[in-house]
Amino acid sequence: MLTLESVTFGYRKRTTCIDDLSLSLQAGQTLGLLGPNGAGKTTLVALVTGQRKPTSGKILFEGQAVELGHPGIALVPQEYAFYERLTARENLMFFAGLLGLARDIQKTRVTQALSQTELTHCADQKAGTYSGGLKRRLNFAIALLQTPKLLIMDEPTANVDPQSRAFLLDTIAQVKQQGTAIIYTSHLLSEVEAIADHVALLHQGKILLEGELATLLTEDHRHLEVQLSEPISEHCQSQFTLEALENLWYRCDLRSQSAPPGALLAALEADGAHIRQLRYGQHRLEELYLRALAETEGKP
Amino acid sequence: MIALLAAIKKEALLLVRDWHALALLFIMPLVFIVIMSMALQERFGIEGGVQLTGQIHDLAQSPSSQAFLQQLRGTDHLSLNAHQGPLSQQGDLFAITLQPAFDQALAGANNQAGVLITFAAELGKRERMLVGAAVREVFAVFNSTLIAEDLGYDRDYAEAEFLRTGFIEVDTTTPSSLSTPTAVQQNVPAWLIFAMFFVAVPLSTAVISERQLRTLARVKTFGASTTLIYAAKLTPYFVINIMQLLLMLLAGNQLLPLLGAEGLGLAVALGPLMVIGVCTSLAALAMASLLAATVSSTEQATVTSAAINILLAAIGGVMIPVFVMPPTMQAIAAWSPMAWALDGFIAVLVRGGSWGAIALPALKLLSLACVLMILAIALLKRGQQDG
Repeated sequence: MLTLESVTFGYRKRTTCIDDLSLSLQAGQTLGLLGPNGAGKTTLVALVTGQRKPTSGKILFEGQAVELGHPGIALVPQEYAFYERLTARENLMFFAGLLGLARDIQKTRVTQALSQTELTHCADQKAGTYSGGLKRRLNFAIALLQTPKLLIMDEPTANVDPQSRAFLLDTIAQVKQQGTAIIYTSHLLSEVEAIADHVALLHQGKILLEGELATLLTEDHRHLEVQLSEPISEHCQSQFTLEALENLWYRCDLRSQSAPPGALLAALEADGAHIRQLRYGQHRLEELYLRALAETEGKP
Repeated sequence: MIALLAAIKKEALLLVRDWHALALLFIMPLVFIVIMSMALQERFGIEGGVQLTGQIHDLAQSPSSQAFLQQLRGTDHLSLNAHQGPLSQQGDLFAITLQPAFDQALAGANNQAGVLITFAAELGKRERMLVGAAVREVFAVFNSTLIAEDLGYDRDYAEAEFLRTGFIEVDTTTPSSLSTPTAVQQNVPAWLIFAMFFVAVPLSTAVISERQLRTLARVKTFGASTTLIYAAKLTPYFVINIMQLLLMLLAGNQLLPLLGAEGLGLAVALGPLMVIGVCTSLAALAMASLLAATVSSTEQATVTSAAINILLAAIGGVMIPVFVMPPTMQAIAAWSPMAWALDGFIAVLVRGGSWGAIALPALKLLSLACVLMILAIALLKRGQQDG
C-alpha cells in the first residue's frame, strides 16, 4: 500500500533529515515509528502526507506518487490542530466541507466520527472548553472524517490521562480492524508494543531497526526473566548476578552463567521463592530500542 | 465551491466570536472619529472658513464705541461674545477690548490705542494675523465712513472713494481644487482608513496561530489549496472592511450631529466613494497577508502590524492632516497608502469629485495591493518549502 524507496530529504541549507530511507506498509498493518527527538519522525510524517517532497527517491501510495491532500491519507498531528472557538461539531463540519462532500454526507460522517470517539454528548460545546482527553478525541475524530486507508498518528496520546489513553487505543484498534494501515509515532514504547505489529527505529534520518514486532522481540536467547512470589536473598542475587526489575521480576544474563537455566531455577526455588512467571527468548521493546541506539553511538 | 464556502463559514464564525478583534475594528475607529471630530472642530473651522470665537469688551461705552462694536459683530470672520474671565476657559481664543479712551484715540487726541487685542496662548500666528486683519478691516470701514460723513457723504461714498473696494476684484466663481476639509470630513475617512488597515492585526495573528498549531498543515491534508485557504480567510475581512466603511460614514452623517458636531454630508458620488473604499480594503488585506507571511509569532504579528499601521497613519495624514504639514512632510506623506486612500475619500466627500477624481488614488492602491499580494504568496510558498 505504502512504499518508500531510497527517500532522502533535507531542508534548504540544512543537513539531511531523512537519509536513503526505504520502508513498506501493507493494508491493515500498524507501523510503530520510534526514535529520539530530532530523529526525523515528524519530517517522515510530513513526507508521507505529501507536505514535503523528497529530495530524491519515491514515496508511492497504492502505486501512485503521494500528493498533499490525498483523500486516502489522514493525519492526526501531535498538536490540537483544530479551532478552539468553534464547537466540535462546527470543527468537524468545516473539515468535512473541505472534502467537498454533499451536505447530507457531511452530516452523516460528522455524526459517525462523533459517535466513534464518544464526543456526541459534548459536540456543541466549544472545543476550547474541553479537557486534554476530549481534545485528543476531537483531534482523532477529524482524521476519521476522511475514512482513510492510511492513518498517520503523531503522538496521539500525549498528555492525556490513562482512561482517555485506553479509550483512544481501543478506538485505534477498531480502526485497524477495518483494514486501515496505521503509522503510529510515540515515545511510550509500551503503547507501541501494544498496538503495532511492525516497528521502525529511526535515528538521524536512517532506519536502525525495522521489522515485524513479534519477530524482533523473540530473537533474544541471551536473557532469562523470572517473576517470583517474594524477594530473594542478596546472596542468591549476587551468586547468579540477577538484575532486579520491577514487580519482583529478575533478569539473568545467561552469557555470564556457567550453570544451565534449569539449575538457576532450582536454586531460586531452594532460596524459598516460588516462580510465578517466566520469560525466555523474548526482548522488551525498550531494551531493543536502547540497545540499537547504544550500538549506533558505539556504546557497549 | 463547497470547500470554499465551508472555509469562509469557519473564518466568519471565528471572527464573529473574537470580541477583541471586533472591538478593535469597529469601536476603536468610532471612538476616534467622535473624539477627534469634536475636539478639532474649531481648528478645522479656521481652514474651512468658519468663524474664530473670542470676547468683546466695551470699556468706553460711548456712541462711537457702540457703533464700532456693532460693525465688529457684523464681520464674517469673528464670532464675538461678552464672556468674562481668562481666555481658553470657555473656548475663547482672543479678546477685543475697546479702551476707555476710545473716543479720544479715534479723534487722534493722543497716541493711545483705541482697541486692544489679546490672544490665548495656543492660538497660532496665522490665526492672530487673521483676527488683527479682520479688526483693521472693520476699523478702516468705520473710520472712512466717519470721515465721509464729516464731509457730508455716506458710507457708500466712503467705500467707493476712500476704500476703493472695487479696485481689487476677487474671483468667487471658480471652486478651489485645494479645498480643505472640516474636522468631520477629515476625521471620518481618516480613522475609517486607519481601522480598515488594522485588519492586519487579527488577520496576521490568526494565520500565525494556525501555522503554529499545525491547523494550516492539517487543512492542506484535506486537499485545501493555499489559494482556497487565503481566499476564505480574506473574504470575511473584506466584508468587515465594507461594514466599517458603511458604519463610519453613517456615524459621520447621523451620530455626530446628535453630539453637537457638524454632520458628514453624503450627497456625493456614492459609486466612486464605494470604489475607493474597496481599493483601500484590497490594499489593507494585501498588506495584512504580507505581514502574516513575514512574521513568525503572534507577538511579532501584533506588534509589527500595529506599529506599521500607526507609522503609516502618522505620515499619511490620519493623525495630522497633510495640508497642515510642511512641504517636506507632505512629500513623505505622498508615499503612504493611507494618504492615497484619504486623498480619494476627500476628493469625493469634500471636493465633490467623481470617477476622475478617484482614478489616481484607486490605481495606486490597486497597484500596491497587487505587488504586496504577489510578495505575500511568494513568501508563503517559500515558507512551506522551508518548514
